[in-house]
Amino acid sequence: MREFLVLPSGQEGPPAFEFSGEGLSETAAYYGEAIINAAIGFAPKLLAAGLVLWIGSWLAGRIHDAVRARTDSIERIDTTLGAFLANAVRYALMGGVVLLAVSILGVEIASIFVVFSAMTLAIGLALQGSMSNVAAGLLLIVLRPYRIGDYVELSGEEGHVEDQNIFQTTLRTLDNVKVILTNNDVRGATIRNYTSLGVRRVDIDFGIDYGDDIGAAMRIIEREAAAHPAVLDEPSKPWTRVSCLNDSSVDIQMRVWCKSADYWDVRFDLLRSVKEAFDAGGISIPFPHVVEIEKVVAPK
Amino acid sequence: MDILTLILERIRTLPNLVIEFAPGLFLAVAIFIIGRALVRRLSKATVNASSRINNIDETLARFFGSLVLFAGTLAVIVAALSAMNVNLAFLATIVASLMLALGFALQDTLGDVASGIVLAAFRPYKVDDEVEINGETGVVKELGLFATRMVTRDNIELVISNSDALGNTIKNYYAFGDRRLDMEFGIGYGADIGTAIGALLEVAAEDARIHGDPKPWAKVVELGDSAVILELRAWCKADDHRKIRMDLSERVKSAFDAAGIEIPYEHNTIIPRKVVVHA
Repeated sequence: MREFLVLPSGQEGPPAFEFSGEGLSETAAYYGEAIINAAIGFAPKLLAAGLVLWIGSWLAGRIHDAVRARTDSIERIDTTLGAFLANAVRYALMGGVVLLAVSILGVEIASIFVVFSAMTLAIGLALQGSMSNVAAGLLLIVLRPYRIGDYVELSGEEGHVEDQNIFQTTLRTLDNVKVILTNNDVRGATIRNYTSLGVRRVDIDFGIDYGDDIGAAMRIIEREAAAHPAVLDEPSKPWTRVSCLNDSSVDIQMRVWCKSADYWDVRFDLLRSVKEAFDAGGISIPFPHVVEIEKVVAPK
Repeated sequence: MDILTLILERIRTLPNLVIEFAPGLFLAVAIFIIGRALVRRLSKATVNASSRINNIDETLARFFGSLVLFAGTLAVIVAALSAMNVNLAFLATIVASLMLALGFALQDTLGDVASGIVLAAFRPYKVDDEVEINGETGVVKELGLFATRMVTRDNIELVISNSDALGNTIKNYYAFGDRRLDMEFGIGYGADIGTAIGALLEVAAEDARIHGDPKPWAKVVELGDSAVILELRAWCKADDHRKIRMDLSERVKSAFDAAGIEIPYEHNTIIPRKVVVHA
């Protein structure tokens, strides 16, 4: 900073100070000139710094808008990510511009840099956890394993995807609870997407009595399944087989295909209609059976 | 030249020395006074601006303000010292290593503050919401800089660090305003399903707290071992959810009794068999 204090012309340094009226005025004149010189020397730098700051912030604003426009035009990048990227670019540029302006003013930047980098490290340590979420969030936004509105299971929680941002993923459960998951948890666990493939298979086991007619029960199940309007013939028609000879029942498994959105309707409707058709058709659904054995001692 | 003359000469030129340093000192003091006033105003403006954003409460706004004040004052002091031509390199090194040490020591605490800021920005819950955070359920009472304070329904206070809150799954039961109440009821295999569903829907319709739209829903959801399981799904305000759940069981029992629908015990078909044992 001292280099702005240009010495008054032709003098090597301040005049030797003397305790007299003349000496005082001489000294005052010297410093008056020195201050004016300093002001003249400093003004252009101040002006230059101001100009750099002004042009720099304008440019950063323009680049921010350009990045925003560019990311908005790419479909894979959503608005959250676009805004985040644009702001990141802007703040990085502004940081550079401010440093440039300060260095033009003659402030020693090297020392500021040392402090600044230490601060960055300290903040980095503090944000460690959140930053890994941001990384996972960027990955999820780019890879898109699910879309907004899909019914998914993430990290053990089921629901419709409500929102995805760089820190967290939000689900709306069927009973309307907002579940907020960290992107780390989402990325680190199995993602189960019930919607993305379009159709789903509904599997239901019906248990019938060991004494019932298996063929009749299968025909009833297939008839009820085919009668449901949401059941599809593609990729395959309703299917039934004996799946298990169980403790107290013969289990018949029904497999039918439907649109993913119809899954629960088909499941619940068929449970009721098959049960009622079994009642009408003389097929029984057995309770658990227990054989009570009475030991009788044989007479000799 | 004897030593006395030398000392006298030094004393004579002492004012020169003062005068030589005076401009730098004057500049430094001026920078400090003006800079500090500027930083103060900037800090106040930060508090005002951030408290106007409705995601940020007063505690946080004040925190942002003091953050600006601290950083700004530091910058002003550096500028003033450099105006006095003090070599700042050693000072910078000291401050930097101090910051690093503090950063390591306060890593978790600073992490809480950082998480607090992220929570304030994204606001996954607000005061008076019933939430489940990190496996604990309660009503949020305070969103602090370091921790979130909740009170359970049986009046136990929970303090959860902001890092824990942000780093785990958060369930907010109040966020969407309405909730769906799901309750299962088992009826006998011999009972008429249509009548039972009718009785359930009637009980739901009688409760004024249950919304008419979306309509209450009841269907068979499982063919259980001893009972046909019906589920009732009714929409209500989130705050009424737990109250209605506690009221409904008794009413459904009366309605099923009135309609002659059996709520079965566990069933076992017992097959008697005699086995002859030779003595």
